[in-house]
Parts: sequence; C-alpha cells; structure tokens
Amino acid sequence: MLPEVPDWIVYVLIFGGFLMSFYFFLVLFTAQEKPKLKKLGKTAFIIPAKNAEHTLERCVKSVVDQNYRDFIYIIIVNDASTDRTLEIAKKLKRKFDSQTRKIIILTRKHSTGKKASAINHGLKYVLSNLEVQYIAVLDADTFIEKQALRDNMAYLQKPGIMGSTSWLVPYNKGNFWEKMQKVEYVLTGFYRVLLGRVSAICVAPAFTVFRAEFFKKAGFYDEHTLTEDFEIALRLRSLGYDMAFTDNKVLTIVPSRFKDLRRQRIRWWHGTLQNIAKYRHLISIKQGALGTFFLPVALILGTLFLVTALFIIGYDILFKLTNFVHDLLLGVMPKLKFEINLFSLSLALSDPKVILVVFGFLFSLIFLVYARKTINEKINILEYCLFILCYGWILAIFCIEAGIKYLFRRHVKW
Amino acid sequence: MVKHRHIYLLAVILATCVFVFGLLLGNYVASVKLKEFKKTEERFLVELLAFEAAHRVFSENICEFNVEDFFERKVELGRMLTNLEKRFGKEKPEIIAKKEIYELAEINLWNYLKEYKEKCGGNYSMVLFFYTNKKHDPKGSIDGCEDQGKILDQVVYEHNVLHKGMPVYVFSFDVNSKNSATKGIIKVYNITSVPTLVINDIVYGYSLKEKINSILENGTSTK
Repeated sequence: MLPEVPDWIVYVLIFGGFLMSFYFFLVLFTAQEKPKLKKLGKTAFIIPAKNAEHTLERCVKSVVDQNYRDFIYIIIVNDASTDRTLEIAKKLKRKFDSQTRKIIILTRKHSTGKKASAINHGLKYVLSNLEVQYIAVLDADTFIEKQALRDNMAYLQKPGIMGSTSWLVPYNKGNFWEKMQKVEYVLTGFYRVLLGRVSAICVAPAFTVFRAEFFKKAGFYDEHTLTEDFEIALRLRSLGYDMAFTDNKVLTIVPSRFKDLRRQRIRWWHGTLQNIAKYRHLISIKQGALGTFFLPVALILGTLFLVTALFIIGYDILFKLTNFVHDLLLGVMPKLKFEINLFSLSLALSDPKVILVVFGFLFSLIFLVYARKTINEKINILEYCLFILCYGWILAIFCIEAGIKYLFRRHVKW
Repeated sequence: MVKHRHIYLLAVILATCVFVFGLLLGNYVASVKLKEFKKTEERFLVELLAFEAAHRVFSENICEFNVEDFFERKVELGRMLTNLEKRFGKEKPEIIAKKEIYELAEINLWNYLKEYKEKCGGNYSMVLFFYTNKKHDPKGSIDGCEDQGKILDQVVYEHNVLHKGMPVYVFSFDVNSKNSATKGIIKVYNITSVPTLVINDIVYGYSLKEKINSILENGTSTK
C-alpha cells in the first residue's frame, strides 16, 4: 500500500498559486498609459515562409493594409519551399507593390529547417541594403490588425524599449485542440499584458517589431536554439533594454492535431530550458520584475508547480488504483451506489484544501473575464473547465517530457 | 492605484489572508458538522435510555420494541463518525471522546439485540469487531484492522443489502478505548490482539470474507 500525499505539500502549492494570482491581480491596478505615436519611420517586415502557400497571401495582405502612411518593405524569405509559395509571393509582388509598399522576395535553395536561419537571411539583406528605422518579424501563418504596426511603434518610441509584441490568438478555432489553444492564448496574452506593466516581457513571438538599431547592437537571431523568439527577447533584456506588449489582436495558425501540438510544446519547453540556462544571470534583483518574479517564480517555480501538481494527481490516481486492487484481492467489490449524504458532502467540502481550490478557481474566473473583455474573444465556461481539468494537465505532461529530454540531452527537432 | 514596490508585499498579505480565511472557513464548517453529530448522538442516547427505562424499570416486553430500527440508526451514526475521523483524524481527542460515547451506545444496543434474539427469536447474526487506530500498536497492525473493516463492510453489504443471507449486525470497538464498558467487554472475551472478531460469541482472529460467510452460514468455520 502506498502512503498518502502529505497535506503540507498540497498547502504549499495552493499558497504558491494564491501568491502568483494576487501578484497579477494587483498588477491589474497599476497605472498604465498607452503611448501615442509621434513619428513614423520606414519599416521592413521579414516574413520567413516555408511551404506557406495557404497563408502567405493573407499574411502579406495584412501588412499591406496597415494603417501606416510611411514606407513598408515586405521581405518574403522563401525558405526552400516545395509548394507554390514562390509563385504566390511573385503574384503578391505584382499585386501589392506601390508607392509606400514594396515586396522583396529572397529565395533560399536549401533550408536548415530552422526559422531563425530564414529570419537572419532576411535581416542580413535588410541591414545591408535598406535604410529602415524599424524591423518587424512576422510568421507567414500570422495575420495582423490594421493598427498593429502603429500601436507597437508607439511603444518603441519610449526610451529603452527595443522591441514590442502583440497578443496572439488562434486563427483556427474549430476542433478541441484549437479551442483549448484559444483559451490558452487568451490567458497567456492577458498574462503578458500584466507582465508588460511590470516590464517583464521577454518573448518575441510570431509578430514582433524591433528598432532596427537593436540588431546592429545585438546581432542576429540564434540559429542553435529551439526557441529563437525567447532567446532574442532574453538577449534584448540582458543588454539592458526593455520590451513592450500591446493588446492588439494578432491571428495565428495553431496546431490542429495532438501530434503537432505535442511536438511544438516539447520544442518550446526544451528551448525555454535551454535559454533560461543560457541567460540565468538575468535572475537578479537588478532586472526588476523579470529577474525577481517572472523568471524565477512564474517560469521556473510555475513549471515546478505544474509538474508537482501533476505528480500529486498521478500519485493519487496510483494510490487509489493500488487500494482498489488491494480491496479486490480481499474480496471487497466496488459499490456503485449514488447517494447524496448532506453530512458527508458538507464535511468533505469543509476540507480547507477543497475550499482553497474553489477560491482559486473563482479567482481565475476574474482573470478570464478580464482577458475575454480585453481581447474581445468568446470563451465559454465549458471550454474553460475543459482547459483547467484536461488541457492544462496535458501541457504539464509535455512540459515533463521536454524536461526529461533536456536533462538527458535528447535531441529535439525544430 | 497600487505602486510597484508595494505589489510584492501586498500580494503576500492578500494571499495569506485568503489562505487563512479558507482554513478558518473550513474549520468552522467542520465544527458545525461536529456539533450536528453531537446532537444526533445525544438524541440517539436519549432514545436508548428511554428504551432502557421502559424495558428495565417498567418491565415492558422487549419483543414489542423495534430493536433492529435502533441498529439502523447506529449504522448511520457510525457513518457520520467515520466521516468525522476522515476529516479530523482518528487521534483527535474530541473524536475519541465522541467515539467512546458511541461505543457505550453500541454496547447497550448489542445487549438489547442479544436479548431480543433470545426472547423474540430475531433472525440475525451479531459480530463484535475489535480494532486499533494506533499506528504502532503492539496489539496488532492498523492496516490489518482496516482490511478487516473493509471485509466486514462487504459481508454486511452482501447480507443486509443484497440479502444473500441472514442480516448481520456489526459492533466495532477500539481496543484502546478508555471507557470501562468497552474495557469490560474486552476482558470478557479476553481480547489480546487485533483484529479480532467475535461472531455469535466465538472469538476469531483476522478472517477473510469466505471464512466469515462460512461461520455465519454454518455457525462455525469450515476452514
């Protein structure tokens, strides 16, 4: 027979969860003024495109349609695509080239399979051939709103801010995995809004705008990491600069199948661990909320929190299973009787662990309501419950798998 | 608006407050349930005493009382007590005190059921179950007692709910109980180790379901 999980471990986890929740809850009430865009500047959009025939046109069109009077270069890096990406890129050039928009197509005959390599190809071209003040990196399966560039640029005009990113939301939200990712992206985006308020943003995902001078100082994207977007943001932070986050909605294609989702998340977590190890010096009081809260507490302890919680649940299931088998061996059969006994029910609910978990759930609903309202995305309570009871734990399993692969130095594909 | 430098401190204070509130609320609800149990237990005791008065003092005929109904109520009380033990732990003094009162009621009821069976021909078996709740008790293992309890529950379920045999009434006693009545019954049956069962006045050690069923059906063990 296995021993039961000690109560104090569960209490520590619950308290940790409350601490993080209240921290972010209070951050909600910190003063935050949206900056106004004072000056436009020439911008280059780098779009790495590998077999992007289905999404490229919509992506490029979203850039062309920006509410932005200054010049925009759109650099499509065709990363050895084997589909109609090049043909579509050429068509888009003919269609959209104008006085303020110019599409440049760069074609690589051989792909390294890493996005960073394709971005760097575009960056090298931009830095040696074009005179631009801003460089935006945009995934070929991502579509931005008309105000996206202006809103991000407004933040970049604040001193010390070198990069600015936006709130990603899945474009495809039909099946279960997509719907779960919608909840995840809405909550993650809201979390980043809050992180932005305490200068703790350190990720440059599918759409990020940088000041061009940043790449001159910091160099190109790291082609050896699995999460180049996290690495570049940590590098930006380690050079003493800051990143901003706008609540502009950016639509992106998310994995539709479990297999693809698993591969993506293992890559993300593996890359995250790689980069935290690389930039561990950022875990410092000098880095403000990033060094004292985000990296050590939210990211490292948050991961540990998830993993420990998953372990406890797994252990509890194993505990119940061994008890069940033990009872069967004693000749004690499970009794399938459903009776509502108010005394035992209320006594079970009086367990402080149960009460605190209920508090935590209600508290999380406040965040959900704020997040939904801010990004204007619909999430129903069923989706949220499924997210908490099912999807969140699947992510935690991916996290453990990535951690094990990282510890045992197993190769993870991009 | 909250200033950044105060956020950490405020978060700790608020998290602690909600945490403590959750603990206090849980304990408050549990204490309310404990009071509810106390009331139910007292009501049961009063009825038992009333029955005793009617039977012993005014010599009323025991066959006219529904003694088996008392047993059902004892089972309900036992369930409540088990839930309280799960919530507060088996070694909490308040729970031990409640259990001692419960055991006194059990002994009274056991006596009545015995008398009822003899005088009125009640068709049921009675089992006394002696166990320990102490982790390292020299009298026997707590795990063995828990297993024996589960086996008895299964036997009772099969007999009383599925009607696979005559009804079985189980009375459980903690061998470390401080009350003199329980001590007396332990002495009468010379209980020195646990788990021990007394089925129809014969003492048995740890017994599997088949053995108990056999004893109940044949009046003795076939194994």
